[in-house]
Amino acid sequence: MIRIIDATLSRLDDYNLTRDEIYCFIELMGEIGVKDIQLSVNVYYTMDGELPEGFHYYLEVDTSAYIKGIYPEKDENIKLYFTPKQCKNDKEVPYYQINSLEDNTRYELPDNRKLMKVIGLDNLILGGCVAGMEALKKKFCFERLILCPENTYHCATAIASLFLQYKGYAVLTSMMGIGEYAATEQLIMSLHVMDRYMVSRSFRGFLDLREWLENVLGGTISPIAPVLGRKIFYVESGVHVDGILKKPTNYEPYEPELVGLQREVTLGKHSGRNSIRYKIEKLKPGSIALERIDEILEDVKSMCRITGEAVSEDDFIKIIERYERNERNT
Amino acid sequence: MKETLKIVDTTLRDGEQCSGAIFLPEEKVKLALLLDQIGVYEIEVGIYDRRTEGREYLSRIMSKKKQAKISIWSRLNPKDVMEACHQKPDIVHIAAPVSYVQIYSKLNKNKAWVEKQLAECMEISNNFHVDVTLGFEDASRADIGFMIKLAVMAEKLGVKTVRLADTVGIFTPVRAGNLVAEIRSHCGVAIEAHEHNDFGMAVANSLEMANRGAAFIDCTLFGIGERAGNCNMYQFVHACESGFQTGIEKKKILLCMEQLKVMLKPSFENFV
Repeated sequence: MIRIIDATLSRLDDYNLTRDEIYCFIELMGEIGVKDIQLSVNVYYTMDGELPEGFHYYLEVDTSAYIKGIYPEKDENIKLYFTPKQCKNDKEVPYYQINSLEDNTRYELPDNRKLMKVIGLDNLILGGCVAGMEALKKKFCFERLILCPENTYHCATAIASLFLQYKGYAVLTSMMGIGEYAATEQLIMSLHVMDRYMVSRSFRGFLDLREWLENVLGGTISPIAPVLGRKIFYVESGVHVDGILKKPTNYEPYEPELVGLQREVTLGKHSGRNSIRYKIEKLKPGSIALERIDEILEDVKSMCRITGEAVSEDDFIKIIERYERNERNT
Repeated sequence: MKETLKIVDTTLRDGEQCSGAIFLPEEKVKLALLLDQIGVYEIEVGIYDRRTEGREYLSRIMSKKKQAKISIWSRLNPKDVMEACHQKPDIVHIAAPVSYVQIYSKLNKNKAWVEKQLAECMEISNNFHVDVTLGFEDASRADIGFMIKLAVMAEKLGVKTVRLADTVGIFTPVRAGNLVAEIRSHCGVAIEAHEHNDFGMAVANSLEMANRGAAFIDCTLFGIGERAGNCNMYQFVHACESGFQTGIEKKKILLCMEQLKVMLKPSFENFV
């Protein structure tokens, strides 16, 4: 069974999330099929313990709160408590920050049925995936391990994916990898495409999650961010436009609509005749400019050479209209 | 001693396929010479297309560069390869479709056609004495048997390096690494890893491919490229440095990134 626990909310304590924002985020996670949510004590108290139903909640308790006992110790809504290196009862799962497996430290719990959470291991696969997983196996029982790989070497999503392939109990991730974790959206889409995970589900909710993140974080997500970027399905290259128009799967890992995005043909210096034809038919169906495709393509290319920028739709319409006028006058 | 990895920069080719990224010829020359300066092994400077950006920028790069190999990208088309060879780059990269979806569905051809085209293209490049790297386009969805057959054939025709292109970015590290190992077990061509970042695994996949025997790793500055981009050079060099040497200092990559930032137009303001 694949378990992905999303930890985004617990990484945003500095942003003073409101009740509405937290509620909205959890509901949106539900829409993309994520039902396991890690909360911080701060987020829990902001919600006064009133959490949306239908989810499993995990509470991350930091050392200070744990020692002082400032956390809701007996809330039925909380499935597990992630507690620093110790556990007083069955619902407490100790967590460890481990940066390397090379030392001789052993991480064994008195009760071998209990879960354990490990954060770190950012260098786990730098020397090879199999070697990394074998080293991890020597120290931990995968069936009882919740792994939260960190992203110092930009391998966190790959480590999370690998750990799930090795039948690990669960991975802990966050949207866009906030907090230097593996990215929830990347992992889900990789599993969906390659392993048919949640095969019949729509992931259009990523669109609203992107908006939520931009509102909370106060910025715009990179247009080429995996899964979330606005422009990841924009295509300019002549060869690829041709392939995509014939059959989108030629150059796309999944349908843009699956994640609420759209395919868009843009015009630039690498555009070809098919792009020009496609754009004219889209913007001015039946235009007589369709008979002057080669010349229009040359205009588009030379415009790009001069400006160093793509040709906008407005500018392209002006080009078409100029050709239409010329055609009518002749 | 750490193993050596050769970095192939494709910012000026695949990076420019990032929608909206358009580089002027003089900008290409400037960035290519910077990449040459910092020790990048090979710089893929573009797709040969006379109508798009002319040919002058390539000869300027060729005459001024100090050490990097300069390559241009070509389709598996004898005419294109001939034109590319005429430009006298160090390397012509020929991209051969290898997946059924590319061969049958996109091109409406068959495997025999791919083999025939390859033989013709190689005859031309051999006549010009231009080195060729052969790209297996869409390798992550292709039949391993066909790729091995093509790699063996390519080696006999004089190809020394095969690029495994994860064209739609769906590889995971284990699958990517297994493909490298499998091809290497059947022939002696060097392997070049070309990853896309659709699932955020481009760095991890490239690293695993290096661990399993790939000698060349394709990267772009800021990881720009089609869709979610390619393997980010700075991030890759950072990730691989405990096990490999690339001959490139990370802080010098930052200089190139600054230059690229200037080249990317306002629509990319929040892009990097």
